[in-house]
Amino acid sequence: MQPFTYLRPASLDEALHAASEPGTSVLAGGTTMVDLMRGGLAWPTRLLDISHLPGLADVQTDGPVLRFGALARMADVAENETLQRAYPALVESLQLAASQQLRNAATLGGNILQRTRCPYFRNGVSDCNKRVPGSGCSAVDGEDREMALFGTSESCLANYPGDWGTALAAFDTAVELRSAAGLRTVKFSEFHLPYGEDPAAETVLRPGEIVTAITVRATPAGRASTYLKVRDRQSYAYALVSAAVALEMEGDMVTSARVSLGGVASKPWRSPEAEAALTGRRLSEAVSLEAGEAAFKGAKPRRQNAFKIELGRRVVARAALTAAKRI
Amino acid sequence: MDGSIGIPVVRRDAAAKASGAAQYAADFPHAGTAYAALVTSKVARGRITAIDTMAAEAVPGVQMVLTHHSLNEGLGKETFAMKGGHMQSSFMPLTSDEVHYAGQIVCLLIADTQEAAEQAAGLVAVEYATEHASAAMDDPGHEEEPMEKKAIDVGDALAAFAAADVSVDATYLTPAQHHNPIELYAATCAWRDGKLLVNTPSQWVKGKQAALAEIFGIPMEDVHIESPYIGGGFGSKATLLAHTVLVAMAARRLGRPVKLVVPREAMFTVGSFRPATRSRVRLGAKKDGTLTAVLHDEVGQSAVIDHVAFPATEVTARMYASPNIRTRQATIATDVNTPGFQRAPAEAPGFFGFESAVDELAIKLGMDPVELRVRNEPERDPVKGLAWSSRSLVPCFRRGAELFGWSKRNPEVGSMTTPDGLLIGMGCATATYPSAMAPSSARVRLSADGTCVVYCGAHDLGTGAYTVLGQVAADVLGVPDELVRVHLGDSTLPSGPVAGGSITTGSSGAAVHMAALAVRDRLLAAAGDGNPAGWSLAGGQVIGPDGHGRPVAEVVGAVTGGVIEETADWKPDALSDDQMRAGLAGGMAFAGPTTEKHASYSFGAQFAEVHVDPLLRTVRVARMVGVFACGRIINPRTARSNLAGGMVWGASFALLEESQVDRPRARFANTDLAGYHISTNADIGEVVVETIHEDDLVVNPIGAKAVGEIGIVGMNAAIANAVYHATGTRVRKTPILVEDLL
Amino acid sequence: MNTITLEVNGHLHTLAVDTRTTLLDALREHLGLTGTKVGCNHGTCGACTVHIEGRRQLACLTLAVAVEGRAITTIEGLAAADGTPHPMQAAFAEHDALQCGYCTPGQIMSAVACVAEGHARSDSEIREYMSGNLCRCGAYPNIVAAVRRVAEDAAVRHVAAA
Repeated sequence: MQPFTYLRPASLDEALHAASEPGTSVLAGGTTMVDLMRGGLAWPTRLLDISHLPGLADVQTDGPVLRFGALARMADVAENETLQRAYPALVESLQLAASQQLRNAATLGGNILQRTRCPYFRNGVSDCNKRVPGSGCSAVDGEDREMALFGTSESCLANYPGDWGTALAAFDTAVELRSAAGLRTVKFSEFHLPYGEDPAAETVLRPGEIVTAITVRATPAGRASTYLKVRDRQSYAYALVSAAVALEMEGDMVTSARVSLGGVASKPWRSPEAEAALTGRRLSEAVSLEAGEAAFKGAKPRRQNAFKIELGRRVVARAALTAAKRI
Repeated sequence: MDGSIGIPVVRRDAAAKASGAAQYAADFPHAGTAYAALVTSKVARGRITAIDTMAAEAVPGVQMVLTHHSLNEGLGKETFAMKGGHMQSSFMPLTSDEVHYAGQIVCLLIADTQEAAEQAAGLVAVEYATEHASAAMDDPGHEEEPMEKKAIDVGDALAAFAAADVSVDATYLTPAQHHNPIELYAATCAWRDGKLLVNTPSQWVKGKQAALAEIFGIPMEDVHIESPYIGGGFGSKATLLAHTVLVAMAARRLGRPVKLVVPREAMFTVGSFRPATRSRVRLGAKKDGTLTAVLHDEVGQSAVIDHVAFPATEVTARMYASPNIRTRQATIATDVNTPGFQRAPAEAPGFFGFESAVDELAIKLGMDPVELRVRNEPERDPVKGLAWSSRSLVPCFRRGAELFGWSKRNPEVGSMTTPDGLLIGMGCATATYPSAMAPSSARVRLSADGTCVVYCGAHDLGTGAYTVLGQVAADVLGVPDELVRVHLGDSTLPSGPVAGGSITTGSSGAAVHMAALAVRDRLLAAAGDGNPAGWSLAGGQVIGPDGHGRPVAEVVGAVTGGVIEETADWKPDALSDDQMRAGLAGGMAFAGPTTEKHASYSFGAQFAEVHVDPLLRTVRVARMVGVFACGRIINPRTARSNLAGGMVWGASFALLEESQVDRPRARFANTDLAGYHISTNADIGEVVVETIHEDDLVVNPIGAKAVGEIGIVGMNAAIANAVYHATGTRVRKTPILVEDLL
Repeated sequence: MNTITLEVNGHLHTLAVDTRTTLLDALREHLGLTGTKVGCNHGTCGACTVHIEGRRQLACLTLAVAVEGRAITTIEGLAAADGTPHPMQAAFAEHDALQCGYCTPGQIMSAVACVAEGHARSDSEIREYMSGNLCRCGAYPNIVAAVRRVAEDAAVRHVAAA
């Protein structure tokens, strides 16, 4: 870890002012930031601790827009009873992530900034365009079982690892970003960047900006929703494939469907293809599997990860059937 | 005797461990400690052409930077453990510009703080001339190196196999795995007056003491290894690792203590690992299930720098009665750090294939897999015709089947489901582990305050040795357990053997027993004024010929000095006195599992129930039952925990563990605990363990056979067999992953 | 170097630390509280679990400077003032819920919180909420038994008090 100055601003205004200095990174729960710094993957010269700032941890789960303060802790939000009832997919995405110790520290705002678990990025030595732009991508001819199927390029195959972000992608979600210059709101679907030439650029977050809140437009589809995560072990592991599905139905007819995928894409991945395959159909096991198939139509498999297409098809199908039971 | 043996005494060290007071290697404070950090090689093979440490040296607080340029020190000769030395490898990093494997130490940095050392490590720039390397034994271009001396031939197995009514011929793969104890490798080295104190987690304090004495050219008594607690060893902490030598050297040069805690990612390359294996198993049988041919060809991954082999075939050949047996053993050298012992090094991988094949044969025969094994139970060792010192495999299967509810199993594939629709699979397998023995010393002291203290340079890795060895002394001397103290894990203690091969209880237990008997003899003699005749021990009293008792403490109090203390050197009968002396001086001296007359093994029956999601094909181990016969169980509580822990390892082996290899760069890829999966609590369902009592005084005077490693053996196969029963898919490799079942 | 004051197990400690010093290293290397263990330094094993303001968190991913003014409890602070072990410590010993003992302080800190959070209502819930603490010795079944025992005893006390 490189040396840095530790700053603890007294107010949000003070924080935003301090954040505008070059070399500044924000510290909230620390579960991502401290790990990145230790791994030589982040090297701020100034670390701005906002974890204690008042007002940024508030969570509102009634009204037309759900609002999650960026400093709300994963573990606390997972216990929110309104959310458990009305948006099980969001709650499940939190419960199935990491461990309780990490969820006690990790914030919702920090969580969407989680970075890939690609071993070539993390190990600090392998060639990796995300870590050292231009050095190459070791995954292209290396271990690719955990790599992404969507949103990849020959310069980066890495997966977005988050669960909460994947579940958020199924809803009409936005991110509030503040800087000394003021507030801007970015659609969640546009918050993460697909990998292009520069895999190091992952989000639209600008220097000096701080994530202050995440908003989700209220929807009755929240109730009939689920987040299903398949992983190599039963707990405390990243997704091989996950899916969030939220449905509105009339009888057994799907009138509206929202599907997002995790563990398979460079960013939280909405699947309009799967949604279209469900919408206007009477939900059955066959239809749910069709939706799963549609979800992975555009997948680009590598040597070891093609199984995620078949697994993903089934994950989407099971998630759709589970969500439908919650109507 | 008051019968302390066989009592489930609460672990003697439980309170210290639960309170945080137990001191592990990195927990010992030393005033003025400097901190070390490592730089390891990016490439797997080649030469270091340049190493720039300027930026690192400029970091405030940095005290020393060691590279192959600056090490430059004549070291005493000390070699690889499998060549009679104590080192994990015969290759010593920083002694040349050569790179032999990825993750090899290329630089050691010492600073006033941990933070400065780590920062500096990140600033070292190394350039390499890279050569082609391969870290996987199934990469193209490798040739098998046969080990002719390990071949076993009984009868004509090839002909019998060709003529068999029913046969199985299949190949099974197990991957490289890493021990990943939760305690990281660590070493704190401090020199005082030319003497070296080392806090490093040790499964072999005597071996490490001997090695460091040799390397630094000082007498053995000038090296002190202190390792009272080990945070998980599993074989990884037996041999001396090179970084300990480097830290000791840095500490001597700096004239202050130096501490290194090896980062998790470096744990994969600065120590050892379980090498990959490939087993071809051929079994031939008559229609009634009688085996006519057993063939096992095993190839194990080795290293270019050191030839290493863990032949499972020596064990599988002895498993079942067959007139025709043929085994072959070979290795393939790869560009990796030297592989080493990992819990049941030969047996755990070897039995995956062997016991999977037995299951495949049972299915082909249409026979119950338990009955097939019972049918082929050998009366004597099938290779040499030796008598078993004890073998209760059939009772293990009978009791295990009963505990598990095996009779409720419908053998038809996919025929059983849970109420919520998951496929149930049930499988079984045989477990075994050799009961070898090694020389050990022990000292037992009885004091006037009623306490009994055991001193032995053996080790408790969580296995229960602190508790068990005390019980052995208490049993002889009739001392209540709360008055027993046990000192282990220190090179100043009477020499104990390496904590490997599941030998501690049998070997050091025998030494403690011998010393305790000597103490008892002196106690009785003291009570009888020099004549022990007619005196005996019972209920904490020394009973005289007249039936009157005197408290033990009172008798001891009357002895000059107020203590009775005896040291005993014990050796297995098969070893000579010279071999004993060499063993007690830190050498490797093993006897068994086969001697001229006997074959000594622990045996067990493993049962597993898995639940498989019919759509997603995810597998969970719902239930494991293991019944083991390991001679006399000194402490059922700690023995069951040890056995259950082995079964958990078996589950982890079957479904999770693999050190993935990044082939183009010949590196281990998943070098953290997020990528290298070991079981979590949620992965493990119900675990039931029982033991079957055996009286086996052939193996050693306390009748204790191997416990520590047998629990893992066969469980991987039992789970694979259960997965087949649930799904109809035979997976002949581990880990069994979701993609194998889609 | 920054001079900070940490409240650990009810005692205030003033110490000079690098801003980079983690709470784990501050406890172990500066305060000599070595009961909290280092197993990975990446938040992947749980050996360094402590309580911060009563919540279980990982000391390896927590900067010492960031927890100034927050009450920290470590394994050394769990026993009663007279030294009587916490019921969870006693239950771990009684159920043999430990082998090598290295993950044990983290397991116990996690287990105490698991019960307090109300996440010990069934064996499967205990397994899931204790999964952030890896035990390489495989003591999991006994860990579940120890946590269950303490949770049941707490429930009985709760009923008795009502």
